[in-house]
Amino acid sequence: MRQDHNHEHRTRPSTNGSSANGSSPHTNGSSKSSGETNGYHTNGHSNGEGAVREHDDSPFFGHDREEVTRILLQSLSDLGYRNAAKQLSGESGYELEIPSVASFREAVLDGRWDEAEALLFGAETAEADGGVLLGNGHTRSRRKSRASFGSQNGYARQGLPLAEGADTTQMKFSLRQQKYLEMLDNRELNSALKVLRNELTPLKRDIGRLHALSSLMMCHSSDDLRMQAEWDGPEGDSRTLVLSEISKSISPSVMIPEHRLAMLLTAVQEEQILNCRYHNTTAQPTLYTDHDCPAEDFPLQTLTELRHHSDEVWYVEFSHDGSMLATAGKDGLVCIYDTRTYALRHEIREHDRNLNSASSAEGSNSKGVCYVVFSPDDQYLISCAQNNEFVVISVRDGRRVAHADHFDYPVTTAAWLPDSQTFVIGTQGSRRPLGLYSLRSGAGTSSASNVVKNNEIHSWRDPPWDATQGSNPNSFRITDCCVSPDGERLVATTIDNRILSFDLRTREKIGEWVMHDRLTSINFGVDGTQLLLNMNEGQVFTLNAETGEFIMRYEGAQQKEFVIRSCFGGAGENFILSGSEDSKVFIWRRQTGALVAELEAHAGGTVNAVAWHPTEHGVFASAGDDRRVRIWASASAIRPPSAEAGASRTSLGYYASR
Amino acid sequence: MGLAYNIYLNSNKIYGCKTCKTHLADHDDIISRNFRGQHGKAFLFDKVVNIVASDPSERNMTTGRHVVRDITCRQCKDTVGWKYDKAYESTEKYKEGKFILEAELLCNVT
Repeated sequence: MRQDHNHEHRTRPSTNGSSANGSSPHTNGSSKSSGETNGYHTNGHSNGEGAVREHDDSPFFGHDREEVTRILLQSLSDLGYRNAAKQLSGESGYELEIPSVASFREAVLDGRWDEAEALLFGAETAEADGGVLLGNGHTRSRRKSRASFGSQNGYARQGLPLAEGADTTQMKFSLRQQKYLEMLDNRELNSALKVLRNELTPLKRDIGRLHALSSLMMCHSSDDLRMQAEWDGPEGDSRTLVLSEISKSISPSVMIPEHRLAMLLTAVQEEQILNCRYHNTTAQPTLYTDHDCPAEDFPLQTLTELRHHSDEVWYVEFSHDGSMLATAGKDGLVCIYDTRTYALRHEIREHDRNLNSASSAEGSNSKGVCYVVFSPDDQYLISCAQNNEFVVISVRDGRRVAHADHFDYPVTTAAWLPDSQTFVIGTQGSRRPLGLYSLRSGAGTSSASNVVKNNEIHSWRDPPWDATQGSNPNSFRITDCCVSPDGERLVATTIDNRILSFDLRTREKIGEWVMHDRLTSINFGVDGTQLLLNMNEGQVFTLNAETGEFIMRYEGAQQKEFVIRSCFGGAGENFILSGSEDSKVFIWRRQTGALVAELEAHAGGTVNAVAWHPTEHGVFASAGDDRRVRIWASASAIRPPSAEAGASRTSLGYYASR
Repeated sequence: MGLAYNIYLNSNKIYGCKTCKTHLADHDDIISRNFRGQHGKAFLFDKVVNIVASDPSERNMTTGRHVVRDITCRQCKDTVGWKYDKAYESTEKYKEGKFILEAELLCNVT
């Protein structure tokens, strides 16, 4: 009988991941020489038909026809079109899975663990520790019947072929662990104990997990068990999870990795997205065409220039909802613009007021606002100045609500916590380098017109300030700081090239990384998982926010003497934007580090700071030494809209006529 | 040109600009205290930070003819002393490239 003939040929597969039998069991002269077929043709399968089918073995556009058809079969079943799948397998003569794999899958999903193990590893191995089988005495008789079934496809003896590097002990461990948990869930404590002792422990693997599992025996009820083990019970996803985990170790030609077609499509799309230079959307591109974003939709052209500052502009930032833009400069002026029309909304000269007339005459160089930041609810704005003070202004009316001037050195940076009431201030002083301040004054002052002054609620200093000592040793001095979006962590850069990170709940220092050159800018990005840094001699790079590991470097920007800032930007934070000392703005793709554009921005001076619009992804702003702030937008937004272009263009389109 | 932070020195006794307290030099870097400037006592330093040097000019000083440049604080632009570019007499050559800060224009910063 042909079936036995095939069976003998298949006695050769090894279970260490090589593909199954290299012999060609089919006698119909197929041209395929790849040994991976495992004889899925219907002539080797006992589906009752037994007739030889002549089928087309020609390659499908250069791909193996069998592989393509089986992947299609898997996708059709995944999509739920079972009848179509059956028809396809009938028509093509290929089966998605050989019966032993299908029965393995069913065994796991039904919870017949011993059978599953026998199918997976082969009857001998199951018999080798056969003395271990407990309770389910019926498996012996079942195995006998299985053996006769198995001879038809020959895998019962040797088990399923495994992938390369498959860890059989780990696979046994996860099967037996699931068995143990289900027994505990069912309150079969004795059987569970036997499984633990006789099946899990001899594997000598993962002692910590074994101890955890044995402690689960103490659980009073199955709900307690589920909570403690983080396991959702036999009727939940746990069996499917065990199946997926094990299927990764089975040879992929026998058991196709799950959702293979979807994985292939995703991989191709991701690669196209990575290669797309101007990809500034988070929308999923269509599968119908190769994806490539046009340059017209990327902000590469100047929309307008703001010229209110009378001296170098040092910082620029959009509000969190994108409705306002704040700029700060060396002339001590803070300007707030409305981003729809770029009209000046407020001009704030808070820092001028503090200077008395004597010093302001010659003190024009000690002025200068080097940092502004909006609160997360966009109600307040902090501005940090070189004349050793910071001021908090309410954005709606331009009034000051808080300030502090108990510093002896310039205030360099500020960052809000998510509650919009507390914020961190970094300065270059050694007495109070890093402090946590609150808008709410501690002593419960009554009237709203009181400006909160010097309200520091916590100070970080190393070594801590000792008021009894005449002179305290110097502490670190801060150049930039940022708070993670969830408000848990604070990261600050110091003047001696260190990055310090603090936990905001406990206010303890949780980490310190030493860099080898001056750091001028730090920002959180990608939901607080990455940190973007500017370091001297032109280095812009990202680090992992938890471990400090280097992720990606972005080349091209120049930085040697001045403070240059950078930021994340674009849809999905796909881009990194940085200023540079050669008056250019640099844009890179965040994921790949590829340079997207190098724009001449502010002739004759450094580009000090850049900011990307948080909601309108086609707009960003840059601030430079030529006293101007430049707003950039895409060519398609600037061009006057054509008659049939639609309403979405008109919002920026009217600038073109100004 | 751009925003640049001052350099900060790490020491117990630092001399800084009287008006804006910018760090200028470390007390331990003093080479000689035996100098006098327009405003009285002055010190000779090897290393001074946060200063801007102006154009050189030739001057006759008590010790002879020298080419010096005035140095001013980077932040507030106040004069704080001068720098020796060249000394014409061989006994004064040791001063070349070094800085003088006048005690009257300095303050102690912690």
